[in-house]
Amino acid sequence: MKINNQINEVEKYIKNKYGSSSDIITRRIKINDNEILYIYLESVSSDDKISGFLMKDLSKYVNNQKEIKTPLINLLKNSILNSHLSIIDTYEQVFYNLSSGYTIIFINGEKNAIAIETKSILDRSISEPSMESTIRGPRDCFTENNATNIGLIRKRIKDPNLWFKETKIGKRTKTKINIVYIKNIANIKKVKFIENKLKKINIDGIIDSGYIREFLTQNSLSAFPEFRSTERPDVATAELLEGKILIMVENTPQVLITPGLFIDFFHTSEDYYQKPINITFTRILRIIGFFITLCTPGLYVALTTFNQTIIPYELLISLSIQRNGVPFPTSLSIFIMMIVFEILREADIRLPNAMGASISIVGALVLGDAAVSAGIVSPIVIIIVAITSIGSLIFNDIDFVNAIRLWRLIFLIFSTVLGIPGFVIAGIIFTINLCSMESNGIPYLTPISPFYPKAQTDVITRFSKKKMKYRPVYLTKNKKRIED
Amino acid sequence: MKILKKIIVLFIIFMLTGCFDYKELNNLAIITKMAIDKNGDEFEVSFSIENTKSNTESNIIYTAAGKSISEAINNIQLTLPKKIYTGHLSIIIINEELAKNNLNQLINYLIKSKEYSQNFYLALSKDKSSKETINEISNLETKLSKNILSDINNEITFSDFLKTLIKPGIDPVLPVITIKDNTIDVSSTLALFNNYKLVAFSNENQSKGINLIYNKTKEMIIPIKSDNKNIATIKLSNINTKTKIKNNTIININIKENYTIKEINYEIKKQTINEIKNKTKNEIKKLIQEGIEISKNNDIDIFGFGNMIYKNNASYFNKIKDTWGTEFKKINPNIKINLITDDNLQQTTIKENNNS
Repeated sequence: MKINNQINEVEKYIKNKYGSSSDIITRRIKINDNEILYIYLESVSSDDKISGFLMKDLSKYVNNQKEIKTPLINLLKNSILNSHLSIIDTYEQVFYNLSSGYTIIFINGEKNAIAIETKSILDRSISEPSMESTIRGPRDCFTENNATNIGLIRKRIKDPNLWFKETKIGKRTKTKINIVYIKNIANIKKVKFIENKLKKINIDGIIDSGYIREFLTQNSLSAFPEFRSTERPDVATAELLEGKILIMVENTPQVLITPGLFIDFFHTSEDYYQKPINITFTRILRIIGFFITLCTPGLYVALTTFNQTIIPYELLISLSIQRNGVPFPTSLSIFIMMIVFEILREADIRLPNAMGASISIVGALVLGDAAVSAGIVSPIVIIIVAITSIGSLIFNDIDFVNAIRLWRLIFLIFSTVLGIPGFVIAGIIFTINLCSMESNGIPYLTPISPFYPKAQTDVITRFSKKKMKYRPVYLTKNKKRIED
Repeated sequence: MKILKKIIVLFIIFMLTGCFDYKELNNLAIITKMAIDKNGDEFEVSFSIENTKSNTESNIIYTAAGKSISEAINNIQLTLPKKIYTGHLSIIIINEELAKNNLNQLINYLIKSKEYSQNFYLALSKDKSSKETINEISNLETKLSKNILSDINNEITFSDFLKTLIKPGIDPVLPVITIKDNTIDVSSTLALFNNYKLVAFSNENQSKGINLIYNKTKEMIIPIKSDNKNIATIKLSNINTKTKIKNNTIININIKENYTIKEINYEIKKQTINEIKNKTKNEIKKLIQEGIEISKNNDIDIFGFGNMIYKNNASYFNKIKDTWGTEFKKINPNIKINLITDDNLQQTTIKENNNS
């Protein structure tokens, strides 16, 4: 809808639209014979800026008795010293700009209006990452502010080929979404594909990057995430240089990385800041940890209730002594303890920091000692659940951890019913599930299956940077990372 | 909806299986040793069951008799509160009567019961009944382990025993456990079988010879007498026996071993070392020949010479197969013994001289 050229009408219309909200401020000033109206929302605008730019610049004309020849709009446009100045002519733009913290100047008899940036800072400053903590490496972290997030990447890659494609999604929230990529590294087809998918989203609001992820997910039935999300700008930068594509969502400190492959969840930013040999060992540890956290409860139940022959003799006797007087079946007691642990974890996340200590005391006592002495579970079950839950803490992506949790349960159920054969069946289903997944057109298990020999420099082993000459072939056609 | 249907179907399939083989650990009577006696027409089966009620390590013996082995085991089950679990069975001891009678029934039973792991050892109890033997072993063994078996020099698992039964030109052997005055002797006697039947026991020297040919002896101590008073004790180590076949009938036994003079009660000179060496060679030769002798005397081929001929030339062996018992007696293996001196032999002898 076009702006009315009568400021009385405009004022009435806007106030009406905002329901005369308490934060809407309007003011009229007479310049010569003409009258101008400026409107801003107090809550999102900075009073200092408005006084600083607008009032100072306008005051030149207010007391000026000289006749002005040029139209007032051009005069204002050229004289207000604000870098974010734009001419708008529809009410949609007016509302968007108002809510974003702009001040809009309407001139009586003029169909266009001037929008100038007078945002107040409503974001927290850059802080240390809370989820992905490392020992080495930079300590900054994405914030809720879109411009800050872009800046954190831009200052790391000083190349004009780093492109940010912005779209606004959400009928009401009008959230800025940026597709970030390096033009001559990333696969442009993939960028277009994401762009088209984003355009199709017709939702009233985007609150978090999780919303976008759900719209872009191809395998909605799979528990494993297809997007890696990070709050570390250094991770984002490294992934951009590999040829991956980022999706930044306004008001979200988590940036989505696509494609998010299975092996990516085993990598951390620190892997590239430490010595390669040690990192290879760490990665093997992570893989062992993954299998421990996934399989231990199922394997334990299968072995102790069906296939006891595999257990070493001494251990069998010791386990048998431990189980004396425990009323519940092994699988049930493992299930109970797993549920108790998950409840504790959930409570720990939701609880205010001050109460965290009490939870850990209760948890340690209830989980550890009391359950055994009360005869509800055997000590070995505590060990199993403890090693399982500790194993899952290796991964910092909460979606990945939760996916492991689901599959752990499936392994447990299959093992409870069929023993080792059931465990193997669950394993087969698990593998099929992973193999059938795709992340943005790339098989989820790449580069292990399909196997890319040249990409193996950075999968489980990490070679020294001198030897990591090439970018992964499945991500980019621009292969060379190190020029000869 | 489709997915929901699939989930329901899967759920029903799971529930219908009903945990077919489910058993909790505390409901298992873990059997470590088993004794089978044959007394006349009756089988008497004894189980040594690990006590899992407390942390003190002890075994409890359960015994029952029956017309057959399965019946006897079933009778034990009736008196037991827990389910019999034989997956970790470490040894089955049988008595002389059963072995002399026929092992066919026992082996048949063991093959057909899937709950046995075939990795347990087989042994024979001499003089005493096997029930008494496992009782003694359980009393002597204090730790939660199978350490009696580590003493058996010539340990033979059930699957080994089966293999020797099936292969042509080889007859099985079982170790014999004898208990005298609270000591368990597991290596001095061997039971020789002709097919399923026990035919003879070997004495200590014969067993040593047999084990040497089997390449199961790794270390050995031999006292060498030079005259009435003077004795040198030789320690043989790294013993390695290779049995090879040439031209269908000539069998060579090559033994390579390191030797050290452990103890000596007379002065040692260069020529005495050579003398000791020759005497050691003769001693070993004698042991081996004694081992072969007992095999020949009983018309059985426990060393598998026939099997070697079979492997070398099957058609030739098939011709002499039926008369192999007598054919075997004609074979006189060539025995070659290669003694290797440890480098520091001279030093040790001098040291020992000074000490004495």
